Amino acid sequence: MWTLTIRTALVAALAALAWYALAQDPEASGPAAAPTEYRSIDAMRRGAPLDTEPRPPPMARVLDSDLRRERGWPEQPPTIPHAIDGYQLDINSNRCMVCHSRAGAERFQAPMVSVTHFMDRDNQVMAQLAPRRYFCTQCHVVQTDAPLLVDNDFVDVDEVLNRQRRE
Amino acid sequence: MATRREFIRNSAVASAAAAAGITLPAAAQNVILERSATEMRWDKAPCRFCGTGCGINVAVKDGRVVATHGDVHNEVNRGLNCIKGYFLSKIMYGRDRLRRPLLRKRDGVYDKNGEFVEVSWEEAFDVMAAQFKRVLREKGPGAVGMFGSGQWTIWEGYAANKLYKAGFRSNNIDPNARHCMASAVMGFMRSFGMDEPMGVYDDIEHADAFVLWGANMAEMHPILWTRIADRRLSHPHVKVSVMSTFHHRSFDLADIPIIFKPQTDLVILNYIANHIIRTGRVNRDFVDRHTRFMRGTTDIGYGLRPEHPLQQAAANAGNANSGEAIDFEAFAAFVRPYTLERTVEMTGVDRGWLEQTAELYADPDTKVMSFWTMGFNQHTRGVWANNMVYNLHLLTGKISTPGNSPFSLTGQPSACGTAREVGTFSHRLPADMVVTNPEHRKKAEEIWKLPEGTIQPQPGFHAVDQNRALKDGTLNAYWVQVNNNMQAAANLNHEGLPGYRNPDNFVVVSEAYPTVTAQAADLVLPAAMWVEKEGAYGNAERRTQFWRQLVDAPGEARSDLWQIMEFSKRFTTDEVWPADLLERAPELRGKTLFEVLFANGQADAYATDEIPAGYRNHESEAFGFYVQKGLFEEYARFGRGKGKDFADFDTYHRVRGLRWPVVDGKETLWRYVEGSDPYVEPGRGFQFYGHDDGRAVIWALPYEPPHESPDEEYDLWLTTGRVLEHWHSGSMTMRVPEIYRSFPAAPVYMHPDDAAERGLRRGQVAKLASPRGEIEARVETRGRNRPPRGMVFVPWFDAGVLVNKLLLDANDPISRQTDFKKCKCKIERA
Amino acid sequence: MSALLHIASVVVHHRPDAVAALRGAVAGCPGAELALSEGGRSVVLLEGAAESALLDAMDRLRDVAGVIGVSLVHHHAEPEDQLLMEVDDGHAP
Repeated sequence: MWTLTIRTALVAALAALAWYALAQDPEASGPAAAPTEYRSIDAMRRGAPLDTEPRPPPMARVLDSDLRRERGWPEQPPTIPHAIDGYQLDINSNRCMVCHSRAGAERFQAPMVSVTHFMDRDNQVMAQLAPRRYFCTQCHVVQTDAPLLVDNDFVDVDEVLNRQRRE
Repeated sequence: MATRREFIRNSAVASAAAAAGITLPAAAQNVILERSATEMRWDKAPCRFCGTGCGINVAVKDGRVVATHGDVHNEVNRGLNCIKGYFLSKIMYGRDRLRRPLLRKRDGVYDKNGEFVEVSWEEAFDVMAAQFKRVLREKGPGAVGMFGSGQWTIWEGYAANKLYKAGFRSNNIDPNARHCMASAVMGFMRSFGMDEPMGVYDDIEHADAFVLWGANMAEMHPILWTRIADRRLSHPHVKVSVMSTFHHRSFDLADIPIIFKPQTDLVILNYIANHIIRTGRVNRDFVDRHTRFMRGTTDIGYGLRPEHPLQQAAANAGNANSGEAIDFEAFAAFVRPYTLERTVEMTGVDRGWLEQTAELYADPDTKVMSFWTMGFNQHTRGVWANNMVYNLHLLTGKISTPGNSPFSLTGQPSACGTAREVGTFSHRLPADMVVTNPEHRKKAEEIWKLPEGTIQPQPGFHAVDQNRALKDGTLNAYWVQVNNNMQAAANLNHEGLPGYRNPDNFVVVSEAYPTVTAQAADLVLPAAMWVEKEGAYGNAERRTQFWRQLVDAPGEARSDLWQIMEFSKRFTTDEVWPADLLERAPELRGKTLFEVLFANGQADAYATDEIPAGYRNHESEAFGFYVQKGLFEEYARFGRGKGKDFADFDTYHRVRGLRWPVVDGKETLWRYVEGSDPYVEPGRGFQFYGHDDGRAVIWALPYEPPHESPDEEYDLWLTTGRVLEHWHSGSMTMRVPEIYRSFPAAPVYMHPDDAAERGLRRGQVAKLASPRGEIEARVETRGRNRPPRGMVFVPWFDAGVLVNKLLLDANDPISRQTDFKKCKCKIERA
Repeated sequence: MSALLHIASVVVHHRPDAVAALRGAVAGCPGAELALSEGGRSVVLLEGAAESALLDAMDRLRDVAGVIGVSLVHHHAEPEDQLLMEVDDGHAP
C-alpha cells in the first residue's frame, strides 16, 4: 500500500492549510499562486493522502437571508436566498409558485418569475408558467455557508470593461 | 460613460443578434450600441457536461469568457440550460488551474517518490518518451496503455486511437466510457448489429408514455426532463413510469412509481415480455418479418479475477457473448415463468404498478419511450438488460417511429461522438469495426496508408483490466487523458491506487486541474479545456456539434490533441515497429510517428488559411496545417456509405449540429425505417441493416443474481450515482463557487429508521465499510434521495468521500463495464 | 429598493418587405426600439415597468402584417435606481 513520505505529507498539509486559509473568505484576493501549491494534493481532499479518509467537514447550513444576490451576468439564474426544506415540487403541487407567481409576488414580496418563464418551446406566450419551466430546482439552487476550497477567477464583463477603461 | 441600463440594453441586443444570426455592424454605429458591446462576441458551442448536448452561446471579451446562455436556436434545448450549463463561464477559471507540466523529482531527476516540480514541455516529453521507449523495448507494445475519454473531442480520440493502435501497435487504449456506455454498446451490437439509438429526442414530443428504467433524468438529463415534463403536464393522457431502487427527484413527475429490489429489473423486463405474449399483443407481422430469436449463454460470471471463487464457479465465463438460435415458441416458453406473482415476490413491487407499466408496452395505441442509463449499464448483467428492453419494443413493433423509442441515454458529452464512433475501445476501430476482424483491420490500414499487419488482432486491456494490469506490473507506461479514474474506478484500495504507485510503472496524467488522479501520477501535463480549443462532440441522439477556439488556454496548458501529436514526434517507426512490418513498407522507415500518422498527406491536407479570420487555432498554428479538418475528413471516410455518414467539416461549423447518417446534406431522424432512413431499401418497411438479414434479434435471457448482496456483517446495500449540481467527479463543478456552495460535500443518504437503529442522527459522521475499504461521510436522512430500508446512497462527486474505495470491480462479462450500483456495506458511528 | 425596470430583446422573423410596417409598429410601442434589421430578421429592444407591458408589446409586434414570429431572447429585471448607476461605480461582485 502506497503512503506519502512524512516530508511530503507535511508539505502537503502546510500547503493545504494555506489553501484553506485563502478559501475561508471567497471575497479575499489572495497572493498570486506560488509554485508550492502544486505540491499539495487535490484541494478538494483538504490535505488527506489518498490512502486515508478526511473527516467530513460540518454539514453546511443553507443561507436563509432572503436578500437578493448579485448575478455574474444577466442570464444567470438567480440563486435562492432562502431555505426550501420540505417545499413540495412535484406533479401535484409547486410550492415555489405560491409566492413567485404573478398573483403571489405582490402579496409575498417575492420576485415574480421572469417573463421568459411564460414562453413555451415554440416561443408562444402562455398565461401561466410554461411546463418546461415547472421544475424550478433544475436551474435555481440554494447557497450554503460552506467555505470555498478553491477560489474562482471568473471576471464578469462589468469588471472587464472597467479594467479596459482604467488602462 | 454608460449606465448599467445602457450596458444591459447592449448585451440584450448582442445576444439576440447572436441568436438570430445577424452580424453586429462593426463600423455602422447604431445610436444605442456602445462600441465595447460590439466587441463582446457571441459564438455557439455544445455544453461541456452531459450527453444531452445542449446548445450554448458563449460571450467572449478581452480574451475571457464573460457569460454564457442557452442557445434558443438549438433544437436540443431551445434556450434552456440546467444549473451546470448556466455556470459554464466559470469552469475554466478555478484558481488552481494547471499551467505547467509537473514531474516528480528528487535531487533534480525523475523519481517516482519525489515531489512534484514544474518542468518545461521539452523535459516532460524527454522523460515520458524515454520511459515509453524503455517499456516498449523491454516488454513490447502490450505493456503500454492509455485511458482516454468520452470527453475527448472527436479528433482527440481519433488521434489517440491512431497513435496507439497504429503507432505503438498497442490495443491497450480504452475510454472512461467503458464505465458508462459499454453495456449499451454491446446491447446495440447484439440486438441490431450497429451502435447508437434509432430514435431521436423528437420522440419525446410524440410519446404517450415514458418509462424510466433506473434513470434519474430529473437530475442527470435535466433538459430532456424539461421536455418530458412539458409533454406530460400539457397532455394529461401521458403517463410516466419511474423505476429505481430508491426514491429520487424523478419520482416527482411519476404516475407509476416503482421501487424494486436491486438486480430484479431483469425480472420485470421478462415479466412485461411475458405479459405482452400472454395477452395476445405481440405484433406478429412485425416479429415475423423483421426479427429473429436467440437464447443467450448464461452463468457467465462477474468479470472478476480468474482465481475468484465466483469466476471459478461460473460455467461460461469464457464465452459470455454467445447464444443459439431459437424460435418464437421457445422464447414464449422461456419467459412464461415470469408471472406477475413471481415478479411481485422477487421485486417487492406492488402488482398494480407492474401491471400498469406492462400495459404501457402492451397496448398497441400507446406510443412508449423507454429511457435508461447507468441503472442498466453499470450492472453485471447490463448487456442483458439492454437486450431485454429492446425485446419489449421489438415484440410490439414499437420502434423507429415517432414516439415509439427505446432510448439509451448517454452520460458524457461525446461518449457517442468520440469513444464509440471513433472506436477508442480496446477492441474497436472507427465506424463500429473491431480489431478482431481481418477485413476491418485491412480497411483501417488502407485508409491510414499503413502496411498490412500494423494493427494487432487481439483486443487490449479494457478499463478494469488496465487497473489490474498496472497493479500486477504487466502494464508499465500509462497515459491518462480527460478523466479522473482514481476517483471513478471501483476498488481503489486494492487495484487502482497500488497500480498507479507500483514502482515498475510510469503514469502520465493530462489534466486541467489537480485531481486525485493527477496526485497519483508521476507526470502531470496541463490541459486546455472546452472553448480553449477547436472541438467537436457527438451527443446521445447522434448529433455531431462543432465549436471554434474562443479563448487561449492559461499558461503553458495545451490541448490533448496537441499533446498526442507533439509526443508522436518523439518516436520513429524503426523504434516501435518490428522488422517484418518495416519490410512491407520500406518507405516509412526512419519516419517519425508524426509523419506517418498525422503528416500523411491526408490529415495535413488542409491549410491554415481555411480557418476563418478572427479565430485562433493553436494546434494548427503549431503544426502548420488545419489539423482538425484533416483528421475529421480522414476519419469520416470510415463511415460514409456505411450508415454512419457525416456531412463535410465546414458544414458542421455553420449549423447547430446534424444527426448522422447525413446523406445528400440531409440528417436522419429515425433509423432502420423506410422513408426516414436513406439506407433502408424501398419496399422493406423496416430494415435492421446492421445484420445481413436485416433482422433485429430478440434475446431470451434470464434473471441471474448480483455478484454480492448484504449479509450478516455487511448488512446494507450501497448504491452510488450523482446529483444534479455536480458533474461526475466534480473536478469542474466543485470549483464554481455557486455550485459548490449549493452542494459542498457528499453525504450518505439513508433511511431514518436504519440510522436510528445504528445510533446515527442526521448530520453525524458515519463510517462506511465494505470488504474493500472504509470512508467517512455525514448522514443525511432527508432531502431529495430517500433509500428504502436496507440501502444507502452516496454520490461520487466529492474527492473527500472516495466511495469507490468500497465498491468491488465486478463487471458485466460481455461489456466489461463495472457495476457501480450494488455492493454490500455496513455503517456505524465514526 | 425602487420599482423594477424590465429590459428585453426579441428576434422578429418577418418578410423582408414588412420592415416599414414593423418600424411603424415599434414607433407606436412605448419603450420599444428597432435595434437591428437584416433581411427577414430584426432585433427589437423593449423596456417597461412590468412584464405585462413587455408581453403586450410582443403581441402587438406579432400582429403586424408580414411578421412571421416573435421570439424572446433576453429578459432582465432590476431595480430602476441600480440600473441608472454608472458602470464605473465598482459594479463587480
